[in-house]
Amino acid sequence: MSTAILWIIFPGIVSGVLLIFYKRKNIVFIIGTFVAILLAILAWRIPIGESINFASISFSIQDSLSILGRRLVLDNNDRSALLLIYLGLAFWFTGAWVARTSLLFVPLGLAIAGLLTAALAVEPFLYAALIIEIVVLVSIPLLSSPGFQRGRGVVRYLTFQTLGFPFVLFTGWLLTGVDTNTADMSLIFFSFVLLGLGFWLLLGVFPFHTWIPMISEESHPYSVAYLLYELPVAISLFGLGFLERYAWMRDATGLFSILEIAGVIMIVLGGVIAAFQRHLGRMLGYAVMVEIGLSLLAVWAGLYPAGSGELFGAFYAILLPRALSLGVWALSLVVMIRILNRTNETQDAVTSQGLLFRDVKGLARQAPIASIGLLLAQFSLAGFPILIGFPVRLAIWQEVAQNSVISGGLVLLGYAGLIMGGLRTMAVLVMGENESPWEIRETRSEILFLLAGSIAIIAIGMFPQWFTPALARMSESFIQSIP
Amino acid sequence: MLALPSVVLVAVTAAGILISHAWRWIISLLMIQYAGIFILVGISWPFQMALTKLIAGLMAGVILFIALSSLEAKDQDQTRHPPLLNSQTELSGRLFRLFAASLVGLVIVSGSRVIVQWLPGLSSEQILGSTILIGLGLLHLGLTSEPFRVVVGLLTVIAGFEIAYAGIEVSALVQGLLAVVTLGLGLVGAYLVLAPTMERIE
Repeated sequence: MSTAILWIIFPGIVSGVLLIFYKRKNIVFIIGTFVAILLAILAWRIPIGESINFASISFSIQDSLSILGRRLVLDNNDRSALLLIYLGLAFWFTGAWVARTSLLFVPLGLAIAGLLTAALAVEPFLYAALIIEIVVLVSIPLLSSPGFQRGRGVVRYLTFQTLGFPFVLFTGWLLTGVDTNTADMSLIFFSFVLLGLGFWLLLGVFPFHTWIPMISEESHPYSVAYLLYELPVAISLFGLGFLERYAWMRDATGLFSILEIAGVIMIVLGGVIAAFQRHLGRMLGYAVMVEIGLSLLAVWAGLYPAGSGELFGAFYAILLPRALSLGVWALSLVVMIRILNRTNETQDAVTSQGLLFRDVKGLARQAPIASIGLLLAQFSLAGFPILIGFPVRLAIWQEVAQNSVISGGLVLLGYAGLIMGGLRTMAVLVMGENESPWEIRETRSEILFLLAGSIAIIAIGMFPQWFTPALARMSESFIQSIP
Repeated sequence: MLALPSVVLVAVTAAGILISHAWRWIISLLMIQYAGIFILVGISWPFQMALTKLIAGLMAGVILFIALSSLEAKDQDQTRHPPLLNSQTELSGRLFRLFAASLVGLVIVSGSRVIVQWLPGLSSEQILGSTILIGLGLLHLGLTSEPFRVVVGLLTVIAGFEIAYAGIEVSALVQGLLAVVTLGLGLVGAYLVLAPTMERIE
């Protein structure tokens, strides 16, 4: 038995089986969630490479598996990442049951988790670019459901992601040349340009960001939120692999300037456009753009040559607030769409297309719980005090502002835009033309999930010491691996 | 010996894909294009490994062909679906595309000498074939948002990259993953074309 069989091949097989029986919705959701929780527990409890005694049977799990002359390696250092992937998956699967996602959500979600684990494990690590491209291909049916007119955002998403990976693969080859001749400045410059272009495309950094708000408008909000959570994290971790392996890259101040500029651009652009946005689905997309910018700034602040590396934990610490806020935001949108459409459809008829401000005027009077969830999630991602997103954002803002007042001011401008967007949303949801009576039209399961998510957003925000240190410690394996 | 004719083949097929309006022609040219790619990759790789490029490309073409045939059959049965591609073959549109392709070709031919210095492991024919496919594929992507054409454009760009990458990386795993990407693009193209006409999942 090897780790690759357990955390890559096994979920792949389960995904294939669930795909065959995808119409049995409840069974698929239960099995998928159970498998995700099981794999998370195994990542937490099972020591890799050590002898395990279970019911008079002794066995050990090897950390590598050879495939076509290359290796898939998952060792004890990767256990925290495995826990993050599969616990996150269980979280998204649990919410998917209420969110009326496509019936393909669980099978494809498991396949995506297995592939992302493979991207983490493959050696040489550069091949992860190809695996991430396969993740993109697998994710298309989640964004464009059978029987519905496809949007342009999906095609653009496919295009930009597919154009990104050749740059990264090619740079990997160039970097071997740089390793042997670090004095060749033109080669270093060429490598930086290609690598930057590749990650620029993959992360959807301006001007390649257009697909993010487009798919947020066209597709199922919950599927979009899941993908926009998973994919940037995987791509960022892949990018960190370059910094881990190439020491000269960490010493290049130019790289950190690019990270800072890209991060600030994404936050300003996403925040300012969100302030003027009139569509709730697209607003989620712009919030994700701000989150991508924040991740870039977390890497910049944590690994900047002058820094101590202590703040690098913020990169991991923002993941829980992001997952929780995006999940609650997307679930709230799904509930609103259901109430607006006055339907109980149990499948993927749900898209964000009817969520213009004029359509949702006064909706808080019919969907108060969903409205509260939506606003809490939106303000949390905007870094509003006492909510889950605030503590880590504050640390990153301080670091940015101390380094450059202009960057700090621009970042605050972006977040002010996001808060402005939240305030406008609140005004629109509450102020209807007709003063209709307040009523709760959410179902019991919707109320349960939305309340649980909303309470978590406030509770963890008030007591960040519960989770933040544990998440921040995930950066230790990365910091320790740097010579 | 076959390298230079292969460069001409991929250039002609890529330009043909760009200016053609009929999906049957586009898929046929795409499949012929993979024969040229097979020969150019074969300069660096053993025959059996290079053959996988041809097979993966042909399979992607067949997948797209089946999808579009089925859509066409549905279109004939019911008129509710919009036409797949604009069947109007306007001369001005074709001339514009041909002119743009010529400009891209000129840039590639003049710039390929510089690229040869960057990639000493590749022959000049491989670099020319690779850059022609990447250039014309990108041009194709810039001129359309129709899913079928976008997927064909992406396959063209990836094929160009594969020719260049073959000269610097000989790994069975990479070759397998690239074949999966080619097939996956074919499947995604077929899915995007057929998805609006498929039965909703209840």
